[in-house]
Amino acid sequence: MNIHSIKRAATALVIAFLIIGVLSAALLAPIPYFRDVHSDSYLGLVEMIVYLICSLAVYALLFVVLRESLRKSTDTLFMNNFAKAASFGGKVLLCGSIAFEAFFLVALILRMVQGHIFEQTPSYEAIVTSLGFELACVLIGLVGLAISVALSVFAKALAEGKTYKEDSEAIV
Amino acid sequence: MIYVNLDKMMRLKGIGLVKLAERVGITTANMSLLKNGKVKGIRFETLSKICEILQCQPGEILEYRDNEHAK
Repeated sequence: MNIHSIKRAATALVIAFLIIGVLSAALLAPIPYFRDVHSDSYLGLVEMIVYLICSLAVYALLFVVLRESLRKSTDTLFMNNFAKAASFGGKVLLCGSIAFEAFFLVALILRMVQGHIFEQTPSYEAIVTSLGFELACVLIGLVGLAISVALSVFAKALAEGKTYKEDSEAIV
Repeated sequence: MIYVNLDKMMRLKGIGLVKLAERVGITTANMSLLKNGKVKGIRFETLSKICEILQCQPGEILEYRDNEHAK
């Protein structure tokens, strides 16, 4: 497995989960059962589970990239591979976070639209539960973003050679 | 003493370290070491590729300065 096939797999994964997310939000939102108090918590739970699975998939993918880099590494080549992997992992996490924030936005808009159409005012409990789930999902997204930023900074530092040994006997 | 003016040329041509290393076919780490003048030597093959990519002459990358001038 080379870096390009991993990149393609990650891109496909992010796109697939984005489509699944938007479709599930679109399909679940209009169903009457999902409009009462339980519905919001159920939908929120589904969102959060999907989001967690996707986050784990991204982290697993990043782990595979790092493992591949470590396996193939020899001295300075390791640094280069790690820089590539970290930069790539950061981009994947960033894409994943953006994709799923878009998913939550679509789900929220759909819920607001259906609430307006059916003239149903959500109860206080439903609003709090829903907001709780949304907040939890946003927090997971923020953690992903923080990791991606840290990885990107680290990769950049590696690429600029800030962490390389100062003296070398190398002939390049 | 030989000084490497690679960073100046890279700035002039607007190319980054990672991209140049990729195009030359050496690791980012080695390119970084070369840029900072921390290597013992450079192969003609590597120099040739750098010159080809940066569209310059070897003399624009490598410079001789005597120790007094260097200080």
